[in-house]
Amino acid sequence: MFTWIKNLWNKFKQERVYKKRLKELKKKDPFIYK
Amino acid sequence: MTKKFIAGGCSFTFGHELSDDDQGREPSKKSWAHVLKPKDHQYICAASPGSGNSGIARRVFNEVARNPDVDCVVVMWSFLSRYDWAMKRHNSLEGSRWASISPWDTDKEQGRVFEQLSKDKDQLEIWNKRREIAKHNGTSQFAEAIYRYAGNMYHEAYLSWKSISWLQNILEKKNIPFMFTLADNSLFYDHQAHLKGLDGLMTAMHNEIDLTKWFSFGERMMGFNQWASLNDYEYATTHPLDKAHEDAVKLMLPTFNKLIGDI
Repeated sequence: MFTWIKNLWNKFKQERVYKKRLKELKKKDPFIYK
Repeated sequence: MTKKFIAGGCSFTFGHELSDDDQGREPSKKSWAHVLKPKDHQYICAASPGSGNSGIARRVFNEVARNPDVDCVVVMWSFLSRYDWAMKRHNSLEGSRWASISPWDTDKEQGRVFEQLSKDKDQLEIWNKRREIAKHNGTSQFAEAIYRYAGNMYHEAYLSWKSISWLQNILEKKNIPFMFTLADNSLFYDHQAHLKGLDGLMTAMHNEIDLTKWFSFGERMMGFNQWASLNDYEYATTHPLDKAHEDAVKLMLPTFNKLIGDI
């Protein structure tokens, strides 16, 4: 049970880091279309 | 034989959203590079909207290799976070092989794209088509994998600087005069910190770049887009309009004349 919660928490943390990085990159490079 | 003037870069050099832009079908004649070109030279635009620095170097090299009588090359380097990748062959890719990948190609926050492009139906239509094609040729899934698991600023700076040194050395070897400039100083800086300070490898790589061949728009290697924004030039959706390009050329000319001389 504990491992399951830990994995879920790690997955949530990874997702949050990814979302934050993308947001930062899009702010730096706001040129959407090709 | 007509002397050739090659321009490399991203949408700023291609001339996206400038007054003569016809949905990106032809390179603009209002862009900084075209305005800078001497009248008796043939303009070869190797710029491609959305391109990253590896792609810029590849396209300029391709034109230099194909044309024996290149008289001059100008390049405006772009943002770090864009990737250039030779994918499995697919008709929708550049030369049926190459993909330019940017953070906007990921599935996350597509809502923000619609938000930003909602004012311009044509652009939104182009974007939707591109997204649809990207799902078929694999770039969409690949972008998701790069930015989720592998992409980081160190590697992106390393790849960009490697491309810059590579092109610089080829142009020097071929005795082709050139001038480099940049769209944004994130090519060299992470906020206040210079990326050459990341470690010894990056310091050594930065030392290989001949900054005497560069034009920047201000202190700390200010880029064209930063300069245009700082000086309140009129913008379209995301790109500065014709006047910024005209004025940028006025600033560039002394450096251009010094580096390129009488061509």
